[in-house]
Amino acid sequence: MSDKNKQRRGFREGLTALTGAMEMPMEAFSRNAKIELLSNREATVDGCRGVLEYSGEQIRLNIGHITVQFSGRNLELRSLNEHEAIITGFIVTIDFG
Amino acid sequence: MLILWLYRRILGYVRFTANGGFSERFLNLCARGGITVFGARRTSDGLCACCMARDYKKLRPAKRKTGVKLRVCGRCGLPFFTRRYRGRIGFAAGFLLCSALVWFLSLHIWSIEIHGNTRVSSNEITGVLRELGFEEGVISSKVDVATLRQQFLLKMPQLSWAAVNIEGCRAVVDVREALSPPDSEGETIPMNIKAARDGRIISMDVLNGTAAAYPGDAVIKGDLLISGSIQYKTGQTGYVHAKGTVTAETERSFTVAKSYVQQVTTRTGKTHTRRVFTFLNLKIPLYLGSIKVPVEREIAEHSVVIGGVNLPVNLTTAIFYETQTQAVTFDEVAVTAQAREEISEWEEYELDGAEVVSREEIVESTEKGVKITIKTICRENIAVEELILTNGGV
Repeated sequence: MSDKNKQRRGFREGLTALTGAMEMPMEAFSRNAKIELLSNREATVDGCRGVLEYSGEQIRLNIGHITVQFSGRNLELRSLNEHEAIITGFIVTIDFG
Repeated sequence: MLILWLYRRILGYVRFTANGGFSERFLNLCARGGITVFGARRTSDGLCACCMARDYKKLRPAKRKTGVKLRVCGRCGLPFFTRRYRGRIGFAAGFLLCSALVWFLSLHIWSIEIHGNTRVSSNEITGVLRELGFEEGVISSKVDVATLRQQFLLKMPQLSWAAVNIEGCRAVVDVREALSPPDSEGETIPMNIKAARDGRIISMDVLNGTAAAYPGDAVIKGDLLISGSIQYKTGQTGYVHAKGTVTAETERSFTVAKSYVQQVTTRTGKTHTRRVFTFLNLKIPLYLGSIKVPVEREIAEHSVVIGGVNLPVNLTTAIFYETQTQAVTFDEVAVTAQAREEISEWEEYELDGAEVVSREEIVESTEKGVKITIKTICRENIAVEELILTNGGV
């Protein structure tokens, strides 16, 4: 394991310990993306870093260290800004890569 | 979502197509540039999306970098709407005038509702409120509700409580009626009982006081029947409120004379309709000229009520029936019937509560008409209270 990865892992563990001690939710300090689903009709991706692929059947988003792929029918990017993307349509699968 | 929808429409947004090039990269550059893109849909050769009108020019750097071709396909929202009609002064003036009218009307009270009254009529309450300057059309901010309420209660002793609630252009006056206590004060006032009319006493029922007449006595109007003055065993004299009933046999007579030739007013069949349109406190006559012939009038008012609220719009319709007065000759039977009808009205009113012992009707026919005289002997209560004036006043 490289020094950089060790440093990152240490930082994450420290952050987990800190949030546990302060009884605060992890997402308050984490930079991980948060995905909210409203049934299979709407997905709100908080922490979206960009759109990698976009079509009516498939939308792939960059959410930091991984990507998330929404597959389905009539998919639409209802809103996209610097931090958030809202996807509507008939979502069939969600894949992480 | 409604707020967002409203926000976008007020500030205005643009729908555009981005064809060719790298549309995903274009979206990313837009997002990184702080431009919110919404309603993005994939099309066959690119995408179709929306952005706020003020952000459209900021799309140029992203467009240049990704090689997409941007084309506006729709503009929505208030800025574009006002721009489209900027040359139409009348439209703007009408809008301003309408806004000013709505604002002006909202300052006034246009409907006053009275709640909670059963014995006191709404018209009476409205009349008192009008005297105090509170009526339809008054400026609501100038109404001092607390003072109005106090003055209103002072002017209406029949009410025990009142509240004036102003809700926009509508005022609700909520009242509670007072329950009057039994008049015990009147019982202490010294009173005599005197005869209300001439007659012969049949029976007496003295509840308080000293009897001054006895059954079988003939009395004339004003004679003392029951005295309020009583003599105690100690020799002192006291005054009380005399009470009792005195039934006497009285004589009543009434004469009606009707002539064969009478002036009768009839409608000719011709009518004139006059309408007055009332808006706010402004009465606008919807007619010209005046009527100079004798008429009988019937008035009908039509108010506009929406959701139980009276609007300050009213149409008053008055129908004027032309009349003519002419001499009509009736036969003896008709004239007698007229006279009897008048007599029955008199009996109904005058002999109310009296027991008729005997009734005699004398009909006299002359050349000019018919004269009917009614003579009745009744049994009735002739007692009437009269105040005893003492040195100390009452």
